[in-house]
Amino acid sequence: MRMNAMVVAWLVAGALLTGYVATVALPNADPALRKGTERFVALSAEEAHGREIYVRENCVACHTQQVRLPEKRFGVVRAAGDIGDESQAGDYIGQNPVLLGSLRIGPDLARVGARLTRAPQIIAKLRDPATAGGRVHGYGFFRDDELRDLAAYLLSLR
Amino acid sequence: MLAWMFSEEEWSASRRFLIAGVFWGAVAVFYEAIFAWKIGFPGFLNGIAWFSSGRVAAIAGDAAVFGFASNLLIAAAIRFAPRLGRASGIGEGIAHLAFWSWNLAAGLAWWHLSAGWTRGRAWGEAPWPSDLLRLLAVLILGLAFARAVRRAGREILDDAPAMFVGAALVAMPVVLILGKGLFWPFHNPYAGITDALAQAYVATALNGFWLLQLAAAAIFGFVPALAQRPLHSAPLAYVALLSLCAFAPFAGPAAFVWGPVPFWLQTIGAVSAMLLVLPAASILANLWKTISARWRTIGESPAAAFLLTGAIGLVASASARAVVAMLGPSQFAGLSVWAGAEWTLWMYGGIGAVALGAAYALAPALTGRTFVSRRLQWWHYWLTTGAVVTSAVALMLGGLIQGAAWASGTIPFSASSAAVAPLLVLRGVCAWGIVIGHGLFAWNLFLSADSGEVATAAERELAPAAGA
Ligand code: HEC
Repeated sequence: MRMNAMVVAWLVAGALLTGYVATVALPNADPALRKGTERFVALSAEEAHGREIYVRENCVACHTQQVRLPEKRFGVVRAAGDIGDESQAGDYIGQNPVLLGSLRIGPDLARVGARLTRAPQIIAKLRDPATAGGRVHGYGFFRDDELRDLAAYLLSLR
Repeated sequence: MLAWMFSEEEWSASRRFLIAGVFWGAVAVFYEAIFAWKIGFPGFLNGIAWFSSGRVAAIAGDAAVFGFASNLLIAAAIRFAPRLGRASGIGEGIAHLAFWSWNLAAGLAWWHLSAGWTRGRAWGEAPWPSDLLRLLAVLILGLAFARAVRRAGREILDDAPAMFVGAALVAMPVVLILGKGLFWPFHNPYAGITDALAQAYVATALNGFWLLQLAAAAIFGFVPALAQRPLHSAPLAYVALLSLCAFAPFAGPAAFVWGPVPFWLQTIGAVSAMLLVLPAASILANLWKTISARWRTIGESPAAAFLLTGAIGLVASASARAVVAMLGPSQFAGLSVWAGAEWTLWMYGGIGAVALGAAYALAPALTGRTFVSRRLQWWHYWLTTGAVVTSAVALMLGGLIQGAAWASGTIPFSASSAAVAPLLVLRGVCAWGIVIGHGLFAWNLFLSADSGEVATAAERELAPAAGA
C-alpha cells in the first residue's frame, strides 16, 4: 500500500478545514450564540482597563470564568451556591480574548462580583500575599490605578 | 559548541535545532518548576512582575511546545526528508533561515510574555510577531521538504517518518492562520464563545497535527534504527494518520463538557476526544511490535527507552483526556487540577519523552561523538520518568479530591485547596526533579560533543536494518 504525497497533503488540510468549519465557523454563524443574555453588560473604560490587566497577568492560568450546569447555584466558594448561575454563550459576547479557562487553582470568578462586593476587599486579596485569605497573589507591583481598575472589573463580574 | 551555531556543513541545521531544543528545554522545565513551586509555596518569588504566576505559566507552555519539543522534533524531521545522494534533502542554507526564524520567535515570545504582552489565549499566548516568524519557518521547511520529495522522485509515503513530517508541515500553517487568526492586522479576530472554540481548535490541532505527527515521525524513524529491525507495519502507521485526521480536528469542544457551548458541539468534541486514543494506541502498538523482536534494545539504549516511554505517555494522556470528556467523570474531574495531569503526561511524559529519545538518538549522528556517560543518560531517564509519573498521579488524585469537594455543595473552596496542597507540593518537587534531569542531559551532551569518543558507524548512520 502506498500513499501519494499530494493525497496526504490534501487529506490533512481537508481534515483541518472541516474541523474548523464544524467547530468554529458554523457555531459562529449561529444567531442563538450571538445573542447577549440579560447578564451581559458592556464594560466601562476603567473596567476594560482592569480586564486588560487580567489578560496581561494571565489570571486565566488559575481561574476559570465558567459555571458549569451541574454546579450552578450549588458550587461553593465560601457559602453554599455562591459560585452563581450557570454560564451561557451569550454572557461572553464581544470578549476578546475570552477567558473561560480550563483549570481552577483558585475559585471560579465568573460571578465573583456577587460575592466580593467591595473594592478594598479585592485589592487586599490581590496585593499582599500575607493578608488573610489572600495567600496566593503577590501583585504588590501593581500601580494603585491598576489595582483600582482590576477591582472594578472583578466587581462587574456577576 | 558556539562555532556550530554559525557553521554551514552537512546536518548543521539539524544540529542547531537540537542544541536550541536543549536550551529551550531548560527554559521550559525551569518555568514549569517555578510555576509549580509558586502554587505549593505562594510566597516564592512573589512581587516580581516578570515572575508573576500567570506570566510564568504562559512561558512554561510556550517554551515547552515551541522551544523544547518542536526544536528537537524538527531536528529529527530534517533527518527524514528524502536524501539527495548522501546529502541532506533539505538545503542547509534554507534550513538555517527556518532555524533562526523559529528561534527568534521563541525568544520574542519569552520576552513578550515576561513583559506582559500576550494574546491571552490558551495554547496561543504568544503575540503576532512570534506567530509570523513561526509561520515563516514552517513555510520554509515545508517548501524545502516538498522540493526534496519531488527531486527524490519517489512516493515518499512508503516511508512512514517522511509521511508524518510532511503532514505536520502542511498542518502547521493552517493551525497558525486559522486557529490563531493570523489575518491582517493580526489582532485576534475571534470574540466571545467563538474565541473559546477557536482556542480549543488551536489546542487540538497543534497537539494532534503538529506535536503528535512529529513525534510519530521520530518514533517510526528512530525505533527501527535503534532496534535494527524494520518497522512492524506500514498500514498501521496509516491507521495513525487517518484516525488523527478523522478525530483530532473535531476534538476541541471536548474542553467545554457541561460548559457554555451548544450540546451538539460538546458531543462531537467528547466523542472525538475519546476516539483520539486510537492514533496514540496504534503508534504504541507499532513501536511495541517493532521493538519486541529485540527487547534488549531498551536496556541498551536510553534513546529507545525514552521513545517507548513517550509512546506510552501519549496513550496515557489521551486516555486521561478521554475520561474527562465523558459527562459523568467530567463533573468531578473537569476544570480541576486533573488538567495539570493531562498536561504533564502529554508534554513531558509523551511528546517530551519522544523528543528526548530523538535527541539521544540524533546527537551522536549530528556531533559525530558518542555520549561520554551512559549512566547520566539513565539518571536522566529515571528522574524524568519517575517525576512525570509521580506528578501525574498526584494531580489526578488532587483533581478527584477537588471534584468530590466541589460536588458536595457544602465544602468551601479554600478547604478543597488545603486538601490538595500536599499533592501540589509533591508535584512541585517532581518539577525540580525534571529540571535536574534536564541539566544532566545538557551537561552530558556538552561533555560528549566536546570530548566524547568518535561515534560508531551505526550511531552515525541511524539507518534501519536492511530490508526495512
Ligand atoms: C497561581 C494561581 C493564581 C493566579 C495566577 C491568580 N490567582 Fe487568584 N486565586 C488563587 C487562589 C488559590 C485563590 C484562593 C485562595 C485565596 O484567596 O488566597 C485565589 C483567589 C482569588 C480571588 C478571590 C475569589 C473569592 O471569591 O474569594 C480573586 C478575586 C482572585 N483570585 C483574582 C485574581 C486575579 C485578578 C488574578 C490575576 C491578576 C489572579 N487571581 C491570579 C490562585 C491564583
